[in-house]
Amino acid sequence: MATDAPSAVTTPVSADGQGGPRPQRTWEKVVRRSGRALIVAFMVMCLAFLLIRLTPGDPASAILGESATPESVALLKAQLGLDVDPLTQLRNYVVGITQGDLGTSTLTSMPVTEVVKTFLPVTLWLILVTVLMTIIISIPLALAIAVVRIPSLPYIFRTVTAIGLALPGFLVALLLLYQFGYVWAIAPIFGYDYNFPANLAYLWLPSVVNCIVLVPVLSRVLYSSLVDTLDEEFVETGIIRGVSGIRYFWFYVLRPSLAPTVVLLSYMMGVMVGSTVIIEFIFALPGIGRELVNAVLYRDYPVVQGIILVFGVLVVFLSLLGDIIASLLDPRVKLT
Amino acid sequence: MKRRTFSVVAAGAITALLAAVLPQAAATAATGANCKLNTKLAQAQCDAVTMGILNKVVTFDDTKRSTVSDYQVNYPQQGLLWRFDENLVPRMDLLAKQDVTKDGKTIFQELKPGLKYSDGTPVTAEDVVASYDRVKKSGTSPFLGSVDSVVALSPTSIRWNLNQPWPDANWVMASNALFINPAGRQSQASYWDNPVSAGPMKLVSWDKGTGTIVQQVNPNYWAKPKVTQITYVSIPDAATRKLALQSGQVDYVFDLGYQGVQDLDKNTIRWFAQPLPGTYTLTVHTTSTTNPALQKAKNRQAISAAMDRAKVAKVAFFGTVLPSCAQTFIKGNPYHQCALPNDGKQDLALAKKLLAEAGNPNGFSFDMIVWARPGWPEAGLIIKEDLAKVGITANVTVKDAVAAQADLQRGNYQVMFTGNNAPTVVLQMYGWLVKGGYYTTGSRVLDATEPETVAGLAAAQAGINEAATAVSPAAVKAALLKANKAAYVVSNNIPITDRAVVSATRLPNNLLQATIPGEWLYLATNPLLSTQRGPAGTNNQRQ
Repeated sequence: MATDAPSAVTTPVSADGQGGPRPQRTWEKVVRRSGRALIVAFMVMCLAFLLIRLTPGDPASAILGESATPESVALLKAQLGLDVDPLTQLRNYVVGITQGDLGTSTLTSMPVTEVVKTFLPVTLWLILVTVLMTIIISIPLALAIAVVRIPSLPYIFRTVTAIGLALPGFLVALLLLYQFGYVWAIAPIFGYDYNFPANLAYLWLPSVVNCIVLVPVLSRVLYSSLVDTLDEEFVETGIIRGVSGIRYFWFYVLRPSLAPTVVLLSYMMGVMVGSTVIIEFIFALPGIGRELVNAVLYRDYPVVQGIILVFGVLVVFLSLLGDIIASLLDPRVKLT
Repeated sequence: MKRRTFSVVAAGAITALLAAVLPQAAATAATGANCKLNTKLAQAQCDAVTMGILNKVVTFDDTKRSTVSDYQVNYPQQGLLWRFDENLVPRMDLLAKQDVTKDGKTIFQELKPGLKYSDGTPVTAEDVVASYDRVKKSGTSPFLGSVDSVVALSPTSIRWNLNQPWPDANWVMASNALFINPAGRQSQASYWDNPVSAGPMKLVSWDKGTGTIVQQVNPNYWAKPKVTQITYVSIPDAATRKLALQSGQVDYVFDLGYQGVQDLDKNTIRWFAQPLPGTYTLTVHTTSTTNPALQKAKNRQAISAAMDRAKVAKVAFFGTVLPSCAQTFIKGNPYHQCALPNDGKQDLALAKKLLAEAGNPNGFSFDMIVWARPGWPEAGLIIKEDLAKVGITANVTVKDAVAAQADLQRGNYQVMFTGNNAPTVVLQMYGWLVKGGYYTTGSRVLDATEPETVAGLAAAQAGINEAATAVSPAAVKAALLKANKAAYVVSNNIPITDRAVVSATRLPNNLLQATIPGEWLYLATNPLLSTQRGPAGTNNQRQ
């Protein structure tokens, strides 16, 4: 916006003293990017609001079905807050959100905030464990293949990762559940414990299943970045200067290569919030994805609306976080 | 040196984490002594058992029941006037005595003396009246159409005033028609989060997140359950349920897939296809505004004629069920008679003729919802293929059981592959064809305006009422045949095959099984319900 178009009067002097716009400090960029994220989050909130209102016909009638009496439809409309004009509805909705009120489930009579509080942490834990596992596996794997110059290795790597990507998640889940849960009996077949670290017993196998897809994607991207980085002149300079060990791998090879991986990971984390539903279903995990699918099937609109809002905000937040980390890791990445 | 220290600390942390995590994975459900697969029921006694159910329980409020899991978990903890025994015969539970007047229109009941809920408060006749009034008022009162009112004559005496003889009363009262709860509390919504119990078990905990429910013995119940504690866990995937049973993490699983059950270890696990007193059906929305073709009786009859019921029974349900030839179930039903044309066998020529008569010679299309339960989607697809042979296109959508049932109850469907079952054949037909029946409320199956359908409904209802009040088996049989033939004319509920549910258990036979009509759980007690003396003065011991 205005900062991109230098003004004749207020143009600050740059650090090199040659005029032109003053480069923004990192915190300014973060604030600006966060502001944009907030606008996107507000748009997501409006979309979630519109969702229930855009249902073909009348949402209350859709929930209650053809057999509903006008009285019961009117009652449900009042319960859903649909008995006033749209602007008042939007105001009530926004006020409700600021007060932590996302409505009440029409199926279970549970407040939607309770639904989110109960089920979201399970999914977030699942994603966290998955991401940690993915990082632990992907980085050494991609690094080893990029650094160890065995000609056949990249082909084997691509083939194996392609197989991983092609495997259907539910099939992998059932096969691993059979092997680890039943044959070797080192993983519970179902259920969840809300306490840490007891919950890890229930999460490690579902996370492995997620990793089967995530590791190939991430390690491929990282591998490509590493190969490009290794061809850079500063890497050769580092070698000539005698830099070695962790310092070499971190500052000269890995750190300049991580930005695309971090951005992709943040995106994948956002996607995973909703896409782990099959894993949650097979492992009987009480996650938010399963609740969303149930809510959609049952036409439990307040829950659908609330979960979509939370998903949207999470994706926006994770995307912002990914961009910030990427720009911190690699100064070449501009936080716009 | 520092690097080595770091490595040691890291290795130690990982080992500690694994040690914390992995042993828990091997934990299995305890079942106690005298709790082996081959233990005789008379000697059986289990400490704690775990049961794998389909869905998370939504509510314990019997006027808001929504899934089979709700019914199952409710049955052992709810107070019932009558309760099914291990042979599926209704026996007096909270009752000590029941008398029916000669005209069959009044029932007098006497509660067992000294009955108490799990919290120690007494069970009274007022509670029975309040429970009845509440269910009746909610409009979710299946099978209670014969009742005008219920009156408390004393703290332990009850009178039922009926509008017609009610031979099925004991079966109805042993089903989910009327759960007894305290008069003063049952109207409070919060009560149903932690209801007290007048049944064999009491609710101890309900984790709404994982869906895990724990019940323990109700110390105030008049008999002693043969299980000290039941833990219900929701495992939605059938393959996971099977693995959970094989690994010993659960003791009983309900509704397994048909494939692979033969591989279960016969020494520790018994699997069985439990016949249910009901049928798989195609339920048709006879007043669907989105699909006028379905409003015509002839089109619905064409669907019935075009389907290959034998193939559905053999392929989708692995021969564990019988193809239907009437509305009512076959297995174990002394009143069964075929009523469908050509005994329900596939008749494509008849289907085409009916379509032509309905004015749809080239067929028509409809949306069909199929419940996501083992074998049901496969059955739906077989029917889709059969219907295509006469030009009828079925667009199949498989839906989670909770959502599908909600759609049925709300009339949000065109055609639905579903299943019914009921304690008696009369009640099974009543459920679909008489106002107030279990499936008629909300499903709009009775609101037809087409003359042929209206006439068929009237004839079916007359037949069912005749059967409901008849006493002699011959009269019941004759009336049911009339009702079945009229039900075919209506074809709002097209029978496909008998029903069965594949379950598997590590527990002694009949200790805890979903055998009761409605897929509810039978729980053995000491003394067994079957040892209770039958009611005096009743003439309605029929199935």
